[in-house]
Amino acid sequence: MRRNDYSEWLPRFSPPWSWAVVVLVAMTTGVALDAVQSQGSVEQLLAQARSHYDNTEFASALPILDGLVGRLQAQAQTDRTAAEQIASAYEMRARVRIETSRGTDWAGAIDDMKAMLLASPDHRIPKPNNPRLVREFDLIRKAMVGEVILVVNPADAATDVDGRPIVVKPTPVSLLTGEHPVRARRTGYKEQTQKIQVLAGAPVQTVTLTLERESATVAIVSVPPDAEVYVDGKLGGKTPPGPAPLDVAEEAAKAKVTMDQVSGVFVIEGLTPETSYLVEVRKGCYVKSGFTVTPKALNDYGPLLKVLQPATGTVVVTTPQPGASVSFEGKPAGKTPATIENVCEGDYGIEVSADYGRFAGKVTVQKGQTVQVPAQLKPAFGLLSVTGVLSPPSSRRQAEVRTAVERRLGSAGTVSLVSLPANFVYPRIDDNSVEPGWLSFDLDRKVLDPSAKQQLDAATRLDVSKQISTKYGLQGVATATLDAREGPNHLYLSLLASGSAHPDILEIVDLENPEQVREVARRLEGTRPLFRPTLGLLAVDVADVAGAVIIKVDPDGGAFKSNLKIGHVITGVNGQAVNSASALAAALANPAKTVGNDRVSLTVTDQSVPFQVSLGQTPRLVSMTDKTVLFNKLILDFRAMVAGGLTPNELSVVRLNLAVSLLAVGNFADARKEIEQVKLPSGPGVSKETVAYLYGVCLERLGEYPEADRQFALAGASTNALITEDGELVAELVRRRKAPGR
Amino acid sequence: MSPQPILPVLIISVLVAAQARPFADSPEPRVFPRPQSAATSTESEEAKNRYQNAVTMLSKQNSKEAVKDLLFIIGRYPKTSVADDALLLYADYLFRLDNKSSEAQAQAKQLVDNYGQQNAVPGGLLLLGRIALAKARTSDAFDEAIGNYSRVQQFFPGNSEAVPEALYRMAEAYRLSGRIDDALGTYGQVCSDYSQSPWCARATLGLAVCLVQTGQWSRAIEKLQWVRTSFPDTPEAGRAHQWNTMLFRLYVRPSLKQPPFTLSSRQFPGARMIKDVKAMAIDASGRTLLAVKGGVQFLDEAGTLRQGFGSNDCAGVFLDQRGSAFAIQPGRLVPELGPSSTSLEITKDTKLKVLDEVPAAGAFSTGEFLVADNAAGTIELFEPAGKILKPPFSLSVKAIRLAVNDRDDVAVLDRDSKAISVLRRSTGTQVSRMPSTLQGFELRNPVDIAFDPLGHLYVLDRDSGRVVVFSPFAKTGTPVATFSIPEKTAGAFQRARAFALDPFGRLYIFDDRAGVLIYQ
Repeated sequence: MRRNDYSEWLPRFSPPWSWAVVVLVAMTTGVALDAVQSQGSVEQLLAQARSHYDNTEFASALPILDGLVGRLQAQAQTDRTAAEQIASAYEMRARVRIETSRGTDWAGAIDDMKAMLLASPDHRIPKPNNPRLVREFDLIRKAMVGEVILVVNPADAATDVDGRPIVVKPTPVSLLTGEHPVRARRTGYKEQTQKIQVLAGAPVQTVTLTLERESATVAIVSVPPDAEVYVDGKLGGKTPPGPAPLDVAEEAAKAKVTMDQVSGVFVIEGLTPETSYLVEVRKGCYVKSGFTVTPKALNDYGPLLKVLQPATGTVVVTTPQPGASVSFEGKPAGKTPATIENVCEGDYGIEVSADYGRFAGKVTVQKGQTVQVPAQLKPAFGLLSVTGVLSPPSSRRQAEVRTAVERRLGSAGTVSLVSLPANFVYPRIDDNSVEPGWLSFDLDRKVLDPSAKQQLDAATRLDVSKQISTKYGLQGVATATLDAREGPNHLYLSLLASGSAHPDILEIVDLENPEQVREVARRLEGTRPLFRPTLGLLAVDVADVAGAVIIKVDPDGGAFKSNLKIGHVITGVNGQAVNSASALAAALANPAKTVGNDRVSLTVTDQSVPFQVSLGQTPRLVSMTDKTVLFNKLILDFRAMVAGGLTPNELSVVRLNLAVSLLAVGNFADARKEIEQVKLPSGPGVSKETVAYLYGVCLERLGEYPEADRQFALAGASTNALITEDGELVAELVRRRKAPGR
Repeated sequence: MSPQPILPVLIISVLVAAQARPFADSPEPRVFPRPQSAATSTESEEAKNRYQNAVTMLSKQNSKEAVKDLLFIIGRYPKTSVADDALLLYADYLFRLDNKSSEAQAQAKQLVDNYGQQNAVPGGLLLLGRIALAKARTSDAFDEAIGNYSRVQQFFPGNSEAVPEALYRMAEAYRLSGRIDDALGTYGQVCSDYSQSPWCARATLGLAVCLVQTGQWSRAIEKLQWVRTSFPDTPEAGRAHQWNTMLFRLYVRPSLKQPPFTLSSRQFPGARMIKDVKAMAIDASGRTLLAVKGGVQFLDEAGTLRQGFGSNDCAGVFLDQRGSAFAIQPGRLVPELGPSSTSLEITKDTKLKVLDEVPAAGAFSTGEFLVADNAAGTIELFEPAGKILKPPFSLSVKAIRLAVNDRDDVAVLDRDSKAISVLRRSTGTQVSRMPSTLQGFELRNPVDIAFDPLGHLYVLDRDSGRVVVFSPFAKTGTPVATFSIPEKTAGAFQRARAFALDPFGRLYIFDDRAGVLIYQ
């Protein structure tokens, strides 16, 4: 290599070749490249090297610079900053090489300066320096670098040389001698690339690139940033974060937004003049802004400021009884009544739970609206297990049955049926885990699988039901038993209320038969009407008489007060014809058809003026021995009612019915508690003797015989009290009573 | 397990039900779920197929084929899961379709004795109870029936199909045997334990009958209306409508100082051509049967006179407990259905002396016929096949009318004394007697009598132009209602000869002058 023929260093065409040379230079220094790779940032290392140099600690500076050179080589090929940094490192190493006490290394210094210019042709060595070094540098630079003034139209077009972006200025740009591609591009214009020849040492040449306009553009800025911009329904991109263009400052002020709220510019390009485009600016939780743009010419339009209005609403969750826990999208949201504000538009899941029931629903929130969610909490049985008679079903089959039961019966009635997670574990009783088939009974309450290892007694069932229900926030538990002996889909479903000893059993002959499943679902629907609307009269159907014939009038009822009499024939209710006593009962059962819901107008044969009669409500009581009643389901219904807003009279009637249901499932202690809270007013319906009888039954089953006898004596004194509206005389029950356990 | 043949069995039930008395008996044989058996799978499969086939054949009224299959199962595969069902179905067939009570009883006993806790056993016990009461109405028969029904409740307490039926039938047995208190309690239990069961509706009807018979007509009306409300569109609701109409007329209208009946505008012009009507009856289809000298004729719903059955010397007409009509002729009861050669010859002693003076006859619930032998002044009892039996009571009477209620109490109207006696079959005693002279009025010339389903006894007094209704089982015949229309007023019946009650208790009176008059 000739020391002064510096141009031989120059690459012919491609800058990467030059970098290969640089790498070679670095390697030939014999310095371990990674010596300082992990010690501090490039800036720190440069500062450290400079400090050593300034303190004439050249030996210390050299390895640091060697390390920097090695570290920055790859990055400097594409990164302008790294290129400047490596150029600085070369420059400093060149100076170190001629200052080191081990002797001046001019050859190394010259190589470094060459490498420096290859990395950054713009790089200069400050004048107050070693004169020879400056001279050598000038020679090298003259041999390697030429200068060009770039002019680009429009001036704000993005320009790069050799793929490296540059800022176009009216001052010369230093480039290595050789061919350089100069590329300019801008939205709305055709991209253009021009190759220029640079000759080292030649006079400064001027190169002009004028781009050809090809489309119009519209610039958009938004508040807030990061809004999606759609053009004719297609997503074009998002408005970037600020800074906002100053052109929109005035408009932003008008819109009462500060500039730091405004996004950077998003440019819609490729627009054809005289063509309309539908532009939408969208962002979640904001009202979208839609507008049409019609560029008139091949120009740049905008920026248009679009301030998006928040699209939020409020959700108010209420329950008949306050204090239920609300969960909104899986996150706790307080207790009812709960107000959840600033909810973005959209669909959300809400769950409400209390000890008497749960609610799960979806709510759709719209901008500016308050959505009321009157959550009707439904008590739930948790489906614990699916078992089989004689042989357990496969896990897959169990899952199928769980899904089928939950889907087909899950929300059929006043109670819901929810599947517990598959990882549910039965509690342990006396060191044994409860067997999944603990509730597998047939309709005769016979154990379905006599080979089952474990049979729980009634008291234990009562405890277990309570334990599991409490733990999982349920109101009862359920199990399903497949009886393959009767058919592949023959299923027994056992329902056990929390604190119940005896389950309700539902038989589904074919789980895949919709009609049979519907039949079972019907049994879970509705609840017992606890009051019967009454006019205080008894009307019957008589052949050859059109209408309902009154045969009895209660002296305490509305009919008596309105002067209706035995023999009167009712032919209309509130103007609606009734041709039978059944039709009269049906009309009264629908409050919508009554005047003010508490008075009715009765048309009577041969009477010119209708009778206005008060409509009363007669309490009703479920029969404790009724084997067609699903008492466990009723318990859930009644417990939910107790938690609801009832009048004292209604509450007493519900409690009494709850007590009867608890008696039927063997929970005498809870039944007693309910009866003790019953305070019935005087009037038609359930008599105090009936209550006394039921209380006596509770006490007797709890072993409190003297008090039980006292209650039975009270109950037996009545000659006309009935155990239910249509049931036996209480006195007769007392007379026939057997005394269990005495 | 094969699918259970519920549907075919129900079809059979419906077919059979049409022939049965709807209230007194249940047509439904039950098929309960079956447990596993000890038979091989091949045997089980064949047995099941045979059973299915039998059910299908019965539904197609091909009883011969059905019986073949059932006997095959019973004989060859007694250990299969359908053997008990086959026995039950066979016994049921023998009892209800083949009229072989004793054979049916034997099969049902075999089922109950050999199949322990199998699912068809409750049905077997129910059948045994029904057979016992179909064969006799003695206290032993009642005890046997009640015992079988009790066993259903005792051994199959969780069986929500069989137990309510057993309770209902038990209550019926109590009522028919006169144990009204027990009946009231047991009827009540059906509804308190099984409020949704169809048996509850039936039990409430039975309860209403008991309440009427114990003077609690107001509660009875309430109960019957409850049936209408709680079991709408059922046969029981229809019957409750009929019975409440009767109670309304007999109790409510009189309490309002209104006559129990009013003249209906409905007329039977065809009846004006008829003379000398001896007796009347109205069957379940609404036909009015008129016994005249030339035989039994009937008026259809439109009032058109149609030729019926019987011969020239017809003395009367009556319906047996199944509702089948019979013409009364000297020495013969002629059924409407079937060839005349099957008519019953009623002879006495071994001398085959034909009873030629027979003005009245009736039938017990167990099928035997009661015949008034006025030549001898007795009432005789005959088997359905004609064999004479010892009557349950002895009474010297020249009966011109007999009426039998569902308890097999027999009301006898005596030609000479004009008195009416009510005799009880189960005890052979006289329950009550309505003398011709009562407090405040007298029966001048009673010509016809009839029971309604609630036990009221209606008496038509020709000379006073009056109908008197007596309360059920009143010892001295206390009238609950009387009905007459003043002479020369529209609807007056001063020359009445016979009457009948339709299912709603409407009065159909034949008057020599006015023809058939209807009172509602």
